Amino acid sequence: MNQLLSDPVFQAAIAPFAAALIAGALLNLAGWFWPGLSITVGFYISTWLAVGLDVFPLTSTHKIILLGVAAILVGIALDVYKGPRLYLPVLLFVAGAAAAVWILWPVLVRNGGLPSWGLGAGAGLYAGWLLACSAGLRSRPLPAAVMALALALGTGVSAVFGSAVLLGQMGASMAAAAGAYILLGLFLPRQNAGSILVTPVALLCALLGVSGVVYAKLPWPALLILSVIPLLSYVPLREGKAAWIRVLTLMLILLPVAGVAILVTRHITGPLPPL
Amino acid sequence: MRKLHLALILMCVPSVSFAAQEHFTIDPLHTFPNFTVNHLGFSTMHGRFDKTKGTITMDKDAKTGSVDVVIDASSISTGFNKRDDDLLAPGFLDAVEFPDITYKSTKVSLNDDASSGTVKGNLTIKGVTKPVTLAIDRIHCGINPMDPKKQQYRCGFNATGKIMRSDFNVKAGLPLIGDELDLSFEVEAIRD
Repeated sequence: MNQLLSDPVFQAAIAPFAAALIAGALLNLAGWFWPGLSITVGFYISTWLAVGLDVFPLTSTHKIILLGVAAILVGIALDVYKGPRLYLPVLLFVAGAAAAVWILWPVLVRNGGLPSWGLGAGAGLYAGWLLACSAGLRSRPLPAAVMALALALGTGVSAVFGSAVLLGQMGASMAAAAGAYILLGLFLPRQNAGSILVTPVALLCALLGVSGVVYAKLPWPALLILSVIPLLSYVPLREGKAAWIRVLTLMLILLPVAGVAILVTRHITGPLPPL
Repeated sequence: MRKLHLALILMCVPSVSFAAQEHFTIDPLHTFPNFTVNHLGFSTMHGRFDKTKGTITMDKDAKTGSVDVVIDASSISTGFNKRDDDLLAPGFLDAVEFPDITYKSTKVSLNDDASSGTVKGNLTIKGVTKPVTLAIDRIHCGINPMDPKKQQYRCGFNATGKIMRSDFNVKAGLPLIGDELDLSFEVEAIRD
């Protein structure tokens, strides 16, 4: 049993998929937007198995664990909130940028200089963009779920190739959990994904991505490709169209994942980093 | 007059003690912290750090001294670049965020002929500090025979110890990749 729990494939794929499937089914009974929480449940189960859920000392990885919880709470608050949403993307952008800068803060302060702060600005821009751009997907469950799958898979794959196996594992776990959410959606159709789904997934993927660039060897253009994913998720899925057109439209969201895989494998030649 | 003699003797005591204490600077070209770790239960993998700096003091008369070492975490070398990159990333050493591994002694005890001893100290990895005891198996000092002027006095130390990497928040790959690390240090230091 212990051997199974410590197997990286079990930790990154099987456990989060099963956890998200069970959590999704149970949360579906609770109604509201709660099923959207199942993806982050998968993420935290995987992280717990891989490195535990400690938050101190406040390393970059521990900050990601902490900020994921904060993003869930923000997501819940946004789903409860019934007022005007005009400025919400701006607020989310600022919050995402601040979160990315906090993750990188020790390095930015230590290195200083224009290149370092430029890197911080770029990281903030990426996190802010993902968070703000994905916010509108809360009312579109299938595109939101496919976006979560694509973003998490792209982040996970590129991080593994970028010599950040732990970050890659964390990204892959969200992809597996998003797969479970999509699978469950085939049997239990939903009206909304909710900010409870899109906010933490977008933030976690953003933070894993910028950490991969700064703390490992993930080439930054990979983030440029991944940043297109939320945008592609807005391509309308017309109800009247044939099923294959709708599937192709959804596949479009996954296209950048292939792009980022090609980029990273070409950038980093040689075999995969071994465990 | 007797008081004056006593005062002079007392004044000399600290200077005698000071004279017995030798100060050394670590020679980075002949100093390598090494480690071994179990790999998936199959074999024992070896690795080392290529950049180390620091200072050592030794008082052979008082059978004590001090050690202050800084290891560049990014200088890890396991013989395979891809694996080294992975070991530098979050989950393992997180070397960008925590570039230094430090060891600072709290107590050094040398045996009677100062040829071996024990160092108790604090090891800091990834911002986590834990006490670690090192056994010094061998101390050998003398004039460097390769020095053309035959003046350079240096000491060599071989030290060993054990740590659990999970104590230092280095948890990735556990328990498949072993938790217990055997440490061995080959150190040479030049007298200042």
